[in-house]
Amino acid sequence: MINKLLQFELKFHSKQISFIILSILFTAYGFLAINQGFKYLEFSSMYNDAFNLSFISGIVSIVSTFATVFLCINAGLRDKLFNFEGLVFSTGIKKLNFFLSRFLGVFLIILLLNTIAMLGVFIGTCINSLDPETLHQFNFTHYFWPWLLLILPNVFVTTVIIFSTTLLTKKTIVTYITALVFIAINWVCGFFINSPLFGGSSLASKEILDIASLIDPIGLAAFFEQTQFLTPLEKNDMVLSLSNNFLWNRAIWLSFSIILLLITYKKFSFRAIQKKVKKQVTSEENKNSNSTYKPTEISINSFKSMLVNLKSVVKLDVQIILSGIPFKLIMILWCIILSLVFNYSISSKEIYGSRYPTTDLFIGQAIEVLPILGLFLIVFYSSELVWKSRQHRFSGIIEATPSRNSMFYTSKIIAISIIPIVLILLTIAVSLIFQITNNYYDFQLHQYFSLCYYAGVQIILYAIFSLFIQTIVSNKYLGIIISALILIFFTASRSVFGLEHPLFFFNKLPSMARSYSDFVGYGQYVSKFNTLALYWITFSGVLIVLSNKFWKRGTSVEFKKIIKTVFNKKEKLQLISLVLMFVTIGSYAYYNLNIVNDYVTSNERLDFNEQYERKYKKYDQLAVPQLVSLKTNIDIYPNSEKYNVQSNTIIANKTKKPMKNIFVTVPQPLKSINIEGSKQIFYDAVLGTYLFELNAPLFPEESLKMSYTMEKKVKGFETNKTINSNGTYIKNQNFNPILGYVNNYEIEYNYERLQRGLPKRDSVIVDESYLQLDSKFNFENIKFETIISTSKEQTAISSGSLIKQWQKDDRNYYHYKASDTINSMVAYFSARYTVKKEVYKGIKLELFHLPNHTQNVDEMMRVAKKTIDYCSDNFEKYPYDYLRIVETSNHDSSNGKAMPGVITINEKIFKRNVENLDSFNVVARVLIHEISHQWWGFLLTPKRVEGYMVLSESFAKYTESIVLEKMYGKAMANKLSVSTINKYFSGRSYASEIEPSLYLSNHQAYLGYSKGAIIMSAIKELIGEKKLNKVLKKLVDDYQNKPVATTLNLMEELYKVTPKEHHKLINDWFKKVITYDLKITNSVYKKMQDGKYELTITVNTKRFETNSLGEEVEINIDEPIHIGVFKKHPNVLNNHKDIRYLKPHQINNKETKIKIITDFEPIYVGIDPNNNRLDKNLEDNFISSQQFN
Amino acid sequence: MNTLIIKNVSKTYPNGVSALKNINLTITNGMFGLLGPNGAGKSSLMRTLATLQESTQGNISFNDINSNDNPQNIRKQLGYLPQEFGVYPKISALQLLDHLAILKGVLNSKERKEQIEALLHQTNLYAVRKKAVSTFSGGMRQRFGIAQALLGNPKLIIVDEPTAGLDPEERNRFHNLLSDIGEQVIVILSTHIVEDVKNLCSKMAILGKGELLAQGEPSKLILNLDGKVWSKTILKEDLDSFKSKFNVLSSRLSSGKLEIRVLADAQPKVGFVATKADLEDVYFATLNQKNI
Repeated sequence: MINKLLQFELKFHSKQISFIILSILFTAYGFLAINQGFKYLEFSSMYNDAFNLSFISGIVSIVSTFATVFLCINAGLRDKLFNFEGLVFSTGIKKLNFFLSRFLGVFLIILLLNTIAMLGVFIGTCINSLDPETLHQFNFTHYFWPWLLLILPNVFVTTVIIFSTTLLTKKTIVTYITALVFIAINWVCGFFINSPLFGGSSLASKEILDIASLIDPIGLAAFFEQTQFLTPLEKNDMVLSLSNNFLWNRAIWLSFSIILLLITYKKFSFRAIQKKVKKQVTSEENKNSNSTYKPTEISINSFKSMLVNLKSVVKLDVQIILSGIPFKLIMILWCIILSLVFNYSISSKEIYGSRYPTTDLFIGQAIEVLPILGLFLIVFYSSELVWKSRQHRFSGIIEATPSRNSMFYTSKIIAISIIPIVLILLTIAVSLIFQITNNYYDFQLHQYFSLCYYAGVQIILYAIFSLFIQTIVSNKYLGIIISALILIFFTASRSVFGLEHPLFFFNKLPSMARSYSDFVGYGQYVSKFNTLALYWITFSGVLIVLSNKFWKRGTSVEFKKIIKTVFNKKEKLQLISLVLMFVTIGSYAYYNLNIVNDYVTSNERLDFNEQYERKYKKYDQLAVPQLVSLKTNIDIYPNSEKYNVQSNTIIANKTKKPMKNIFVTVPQPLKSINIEGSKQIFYDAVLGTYLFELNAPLFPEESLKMSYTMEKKVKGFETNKTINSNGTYIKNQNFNPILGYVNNYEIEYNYERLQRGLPKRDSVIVDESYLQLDSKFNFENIKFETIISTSKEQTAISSGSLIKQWQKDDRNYYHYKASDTINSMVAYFSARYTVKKEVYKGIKLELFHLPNHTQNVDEMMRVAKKTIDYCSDNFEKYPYDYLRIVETSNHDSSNGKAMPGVITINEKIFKRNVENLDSFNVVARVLIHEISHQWWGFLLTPKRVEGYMVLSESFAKYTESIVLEKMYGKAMANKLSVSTINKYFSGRSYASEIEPSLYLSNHQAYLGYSKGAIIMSAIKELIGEKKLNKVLKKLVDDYQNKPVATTLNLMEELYKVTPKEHHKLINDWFKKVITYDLKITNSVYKKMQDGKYELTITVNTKRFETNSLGEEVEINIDEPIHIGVFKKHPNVLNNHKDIRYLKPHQINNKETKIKIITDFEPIYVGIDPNNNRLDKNLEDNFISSQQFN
Repeated sequence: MNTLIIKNVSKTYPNGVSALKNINLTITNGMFGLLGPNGAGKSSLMRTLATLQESTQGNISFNDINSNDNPQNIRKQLGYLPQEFGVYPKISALQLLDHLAILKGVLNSKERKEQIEALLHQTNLYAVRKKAVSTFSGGMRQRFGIAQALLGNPKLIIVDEPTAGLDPEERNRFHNLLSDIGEQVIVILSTHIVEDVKNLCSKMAILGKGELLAQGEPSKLILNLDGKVWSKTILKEDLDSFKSKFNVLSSRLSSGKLEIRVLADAQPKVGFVATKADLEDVYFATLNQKNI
């Protein structure tokens, strides 16, 4: 019996057109996921390695939730929908058989679809355009294992949950909402753990991970947690381990589903389902009436009649949306999600501190999700509105009334606008509540209005589109599928058949989520948004006219009729004018995007790189002159968004060979360029290159004058990060011509090169002798002088001492001149700044900030002074008589940047809340780091060669940590090191190359910033702060003004001050890839006769080396590691008195027993308590000890 | 006087079913009965008249205005009660009538209120006017249906199988209501119950397989059969043999025996009694004639 029923179910589902469509979509999805998703190996070193296959398996099961909804509705509600219930339930079918066959039918089909998707992945790896070198050999386990542990349970869990709610409530909308909630839970988990799916680079803290790993029903959070620190090589062949959080996650959700399934079976009312017995009313006889019916005059065509009509219909339509419980549920859900997200975003997180509940923060986050949620609601409710009267068989009566189509249509549009309006109003309400409860009263109401526009327009355009689709299709569910597919496709995909221009993507408006800055508001993004919005609005106008024309009236919808439709004069006029407007606005947008500005597709960008290399590689060998003096005149016109540069430079031959030709590459087209005593051989306007031939060769140590002028004006829809009406930030390298062939322009990915017929890039062997070679480009110091002018209400800033300031023709002029040579990385700023000034030990401290960003100004001044003090005392005197801290707009993404004597701090740092002493002081962290670059990078300029980041970034991170500890205590420094270690491990986990050793590292942030910082701090622990600082001071003294220092010089100085027995250790840290696994397994103490305590600790210490193949092998350990005994957990330990014992112990075994006598009761015991070893798991480095009786 | 002219109207559905074939009718004030078995095309014709679908061929004009070109014209003057209809849940009769009255263009709220009240009284729904229509019994719902069809100022009222499922008393009340209105306007009543037409309609047409089989005043149509209808009481087992020999119009069980009525110009056989023809005979004769 059950067999037969199941067979019928499977046949039923597989015969639906939707099943065929779904199968195709799932195959295509798998195919594209493997081909598009990992184009440039963002995740791992092989496309189809075990990690990526598990990852895709997880994603596929999220996607399949949507299919589950349709199938569950089909399985659970089809009898009701087709009024078949009576017949089915009057047969002799048993409840169990019915239940099982329906459930298994859906479950098996969904499982099949998921499997098909993985098959698509497999096909994708066979027929593809992928680099064969990055393809993993086919391995069945890599497919099967994630299928078994992710897909199978996920399909079961989703099917049970959605099937149960469908069967229990018998309402489509509830099914729909369940799926939304399901996905929302997954989404919120992803958001909280900072998932790679959201672009997160390292996962959140362990506490959050532990909770999210259990909650996420898809198991992705647990998967990410388990794999976060795997090296690329390990990822290739990793096997998802059914342990810890992942095991718990699977167990919890599976048992939950099984219980739910049992409950559903019990509760689900079989047979008795016939509608609730309705209380049927009967009319009482009532004869005593004297009013008799008479016809009444009607009026149809008047304007008034239309208004009254509309009002009445809108009232009913709005009731349809608002009256249902589902709508209220969704709105409550939205408020919950918003509260979670808002609360998370302002709360203190690791080393990022907490934020003020500013309006732009909340709006930015809401705008990111609103259109997606809006889209789902719109697609559903538009179908509901269009089909409601039909579903209730009321359409005959309604449609025979003389009301116009346009009236019905308008009413649907108005009614559906309720959705974005309610969503947005709720968003505003939740935001305001958050602000008020956090005592933040700078509401910025105008920003809330902008939310209505930026999010609202898009949602309403979605509504017009899906109403149109519902109008022309013959079936509600078909309409839902079609409009959802089309809209999601347009929203999510980046290119359609190779087209990636915004004019091809319906309703793809620039996202305003991250575009707000307190400097200029939405600034240059506005005109692009407006024009594209208007473009799609006119397009939607066409849809409106057509929807009106084809509005379902009557019983039959004939597709042929739609084709043969004859438009009347008025409609023709409307259509023609709308199409004309559409084309006009489209051309205007095209003009501004493509003609005024170069619209470059990603492929064209690669074309440029290829051309550049092909044509000019021959100049790679030319010796390159060096910039030695720079004198600029910069006129900034903020209101017309333009600036002019006139630059006089001196370039010199610092090489040992004479120069005859100078090849120049310009990042911006110049108006003119001149090199003294030369003639221009060619100018390539397309690639922006020049070649000059010198009349007489330039001999070593000789110099030449070079001058150039340029004009930059923001045109069309350009969003320029350098200039705008308030907050200009022009870096020298934005316009400065580059002397020589730029190797960075070359295409990096060998497979892309292969396909373009370019030779493989030569791989250089980087070793110690390579570090000593002369490099082509260097950070040579220069003489610098500039005169900047700007409009009269703005202040202009650059490096150098301000030697003169004046006003002329309503403009402000500033003349800056560096008294000594400085690094050439200068920048020019202009904005309406307020300045906080103070002279500190002869240094003019100036903080330029927006007038209302005052919260952190005093703290910044305090931090600046402390940093200057520490660095001056320990390394070298601060080199200038000024330090300018300049606030920059968040249109530039970095937190801060250092220029000689000037540092920038992003406006978002000004909005961090550091009032709470327990939360991390991110303001200080950023400020110390950037100020310390005045020493590490400028005073000590490293040679531009591998390892340079150690001498700049690692040193800056070291200073950052040390000054933070001195200012705010040990606990904050510990938080920083925990985060740094995590960043190292997740950084290497996503690295695309085998990890090099630190001293030969290149641009890898996880080495220069993270590993370097930990090694520096480990050395500090090994030899002491004083000795280490002396080494750094020595480097500054020796290499000031000469950009030649390398990591070799650092190590040489380190060896000099380190006891001989530790040289090997230092060598290991810099020259090898060493990681640790430290752990305290046991800790007991007993009170002794003399009142002291004897503590016995067992420590496990493992040491690993990652070899040149990327494999991690365990090696012997023999080094001093600190053991500490504490009164408080080190995360909250600030008082020195709480440290009962802290001493290094020479560890040379995998397991060591240590006895320690302490005067006080030992409460916490820790190994390496200051986090000076690269240890993946820091949790087990501490233990609270037990009293032994 | 209102005139509805149906000229050469045919309707073929996209799936190929030809529901109406070349229908020609002219209807003026008064009750017009449209008789036909299930599937004869009555509802198709009704829906076409109610502008819910367009005819594939032919013209319908109401008071000289073509309805294909200008469906609004007919809608303005139309009262339509579809064969079956539902309503939105949780909305009361009063609310729904008010909404429909507005859609029909009754803008003056005082007049609207008066008319709705009058209709509620006349359809005997006043007491339950605040109850949701979805909870009404079949008869009440049908009365609600007629109430809404009368809203505004309809000159053409189309009621499709209105008495199906009504008990005799309900049906009577319904008929009274319709015939009251029928004097001033056109009322088209479609039904397969001959008695309804006999009681109510001054003119009628018979539809079968989409074709117009007969039309005229019921009395005149009956006159045509005068003296040609014969009846006889027979045994149930003999029905088939009678059917093969004679043109049997109808058979009716009467106290265990079967009474058959036969159409013939002269007494077909001994035992047949001459009977007065009625409308039902006309109906079956017409259908038989066309082999329907």
